[in-house]
Amino acid sequence: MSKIISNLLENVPWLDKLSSVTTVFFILLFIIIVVGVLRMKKSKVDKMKNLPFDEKNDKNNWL
Amino acid sequence: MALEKFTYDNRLAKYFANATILWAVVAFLVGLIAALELVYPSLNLGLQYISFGRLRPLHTNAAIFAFVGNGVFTAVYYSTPRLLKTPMFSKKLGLLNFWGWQLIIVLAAVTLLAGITTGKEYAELEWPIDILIAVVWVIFGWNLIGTMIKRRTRHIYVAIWFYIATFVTVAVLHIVNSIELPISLIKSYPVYAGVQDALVEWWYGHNAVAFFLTTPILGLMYYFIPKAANRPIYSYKLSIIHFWALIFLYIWAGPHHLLYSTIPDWTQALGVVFSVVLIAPSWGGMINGLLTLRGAWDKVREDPVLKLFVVGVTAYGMSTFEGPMLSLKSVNAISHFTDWTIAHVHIGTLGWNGMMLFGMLYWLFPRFYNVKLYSKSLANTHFWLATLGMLFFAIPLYFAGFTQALMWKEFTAEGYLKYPNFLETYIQIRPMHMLRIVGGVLYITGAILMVYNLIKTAGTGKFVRYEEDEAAARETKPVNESWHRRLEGKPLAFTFWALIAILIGGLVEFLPMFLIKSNIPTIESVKPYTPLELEGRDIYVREGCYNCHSQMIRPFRSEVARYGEYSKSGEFVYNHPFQWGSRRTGPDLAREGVIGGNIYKPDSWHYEHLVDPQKTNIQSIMPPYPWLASQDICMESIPKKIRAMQTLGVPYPEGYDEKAVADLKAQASKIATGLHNSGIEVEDDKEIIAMIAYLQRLGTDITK
Repeated sequence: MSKIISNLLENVPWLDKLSSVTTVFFILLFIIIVVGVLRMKKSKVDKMKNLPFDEKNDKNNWL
Repeated sequence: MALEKFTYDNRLAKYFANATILWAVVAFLVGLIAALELVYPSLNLGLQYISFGRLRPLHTNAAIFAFVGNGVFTAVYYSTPRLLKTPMFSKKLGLLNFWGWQLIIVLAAVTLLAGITTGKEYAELEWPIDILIAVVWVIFGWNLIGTMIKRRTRHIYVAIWFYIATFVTVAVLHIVNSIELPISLIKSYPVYAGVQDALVEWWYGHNAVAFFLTTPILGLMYYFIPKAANRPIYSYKLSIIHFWALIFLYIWAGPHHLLYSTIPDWTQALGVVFSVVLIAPSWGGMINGLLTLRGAWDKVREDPVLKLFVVGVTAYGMSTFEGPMLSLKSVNAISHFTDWTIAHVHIGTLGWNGMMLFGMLYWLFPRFYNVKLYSKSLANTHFWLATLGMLFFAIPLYFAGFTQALMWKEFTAEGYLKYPNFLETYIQIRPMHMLRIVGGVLYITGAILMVYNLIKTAGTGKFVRYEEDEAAARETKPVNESWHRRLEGKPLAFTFWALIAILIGGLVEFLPMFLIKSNIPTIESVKPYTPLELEGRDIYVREGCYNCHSQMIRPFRSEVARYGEYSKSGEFVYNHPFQWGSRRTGPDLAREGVIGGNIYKPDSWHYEHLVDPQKTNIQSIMPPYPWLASQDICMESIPKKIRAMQTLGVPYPEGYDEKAVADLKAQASKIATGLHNSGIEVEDDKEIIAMIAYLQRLGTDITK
């Protein structure tokens, strides 16, 4: 069975194009992420940015 | 909505913080001793347990897994509950994580000094410890994911994304690179060989840097810099873009450790391109870290914590620019195998890792003990010592790297090598190695000041184990969220997609390497090692010879002139593990055994050189290996090794394991007789005979 699988995989015609395909995929995904991020609402972004400060025992000057 | 009260337990964070401090000193001290041995080789006192080849892996493992590892756990166990508004999922799992990790470190120290090693950089630990690492890592992940599931916050903050990426990727890297065939409790062989082993190893090695030394420290940065500066991060949007880009791109960069080696050109090209593209998301992180301090630069002047963070993040920026530059083939042709690589690594480790962790510790201890830091002045002194130490470490090594590379490559007007004797290049850079020791001393002195300062801080305060907080229960799902906001609210889905992102690069590089035979052209004359040569090879791995010697002749005129025909991928098909090395403190050995070759030496020379290198070359810094002439070859293990190699596909004849010892003794007897004829008396069952046999085999397959 493993010989059948490895014979199949060795003869996959698109294997040599794999790196080009995934590079193009990454670039497209990157563009989608950038567009999505640029359209995020400021209020939500500000809320997440301030998450580390939402602590009851936050004392800042220990020096 | 009603607020729920709960408490954070600081005990585990404190334990990990204390361990970070302890292992910092140990790791730096071992590094200092290793650096001293490179200048004064007699410092190993003739003891095998502290020779350079055994100390260097101890240093790298201590620095990466003991010091930075414990530091990462400190950051995770402190920040995660606070960012998710819930105590850690399980205290028991946390304690198992802590004690399990310390056990791994102790076992690493004992085994590495004993010479129990796989011979693969940053993955030297043998298979029982590998299993323990996997178990402890699962425990850590279970605790982290469990905490995310029981969180009160709706969305997970950026620091947690980096912790998730660290967990999933290190798990994948460790499991794939550690697939080994054990032959005893303390010895195994990787299932991969030669070129494939090299690719897997440096996919692992580079991504150990990425996902053990970078992403969790970025997570630390995203929590502790805002806290220390009392300012939110500069750009949450930038953090989204750079996070996904970073974790996707980093995985592809592994082949940049193997440029001009025998891995296929297409793999090298991928490594180069993706390494250069990696500048963008890396600098995204740096920019986010530094610009968080907008409006707070006046605090940097006064606050040693912020000073350490600023230099740490700047060092990150320097390393992540230098790294891609070193990945360009034209630059790599100069830098590879030289001290430039060491300088680059230490800007990252001393600067980025060290200073970020020091800053975190100075920030944490006053809070742990509800008291001001014992001495701000000592902390400032530590900052300056660390910064100067890093510079004194790296700058001499830049000079050393260039000096070595240019001397190796220089030809006379008549077309001969200007410096045919490798030792000439080492003698030239020895003063720079001495200066590097000054850097190390400064750095460790600063660390010792930190230890004193933090102990005194703890001594004058009282440990605050529990801290109260309150938060509303998790919100129900709001409407109209962007896709990333939705993903931030689903940590398991987030983990899944992070896993997919990091798997892609590995699959693209591995599948063709393993499945398409033409990537490693077969050479008919290449035969398996004899049993004696195999034993010699295992001794070579045990002694860590690969820490100073490479076995990869690059296709450069200067290397062919110095060492002989450049290496071919098909020569390494039976090498479990590969031993190409990544540094030339000593010469390349790939064609050491070619009679009539440029670097061939007779058996008697090898004997004298191994037992007392300064006898053959008075200025050599190679440590002596006298124990090889007195320790016996372990004959009982030979049949097991042959059977293991057969299982791994090495074409020894059927039933050869029963003949192997006899063949070994016959070959050993010939070598011992030859040595006797040269006036050297040594019994034919000593390890040095095996080592000589192995060295004399190197590079001969293609000259038959």
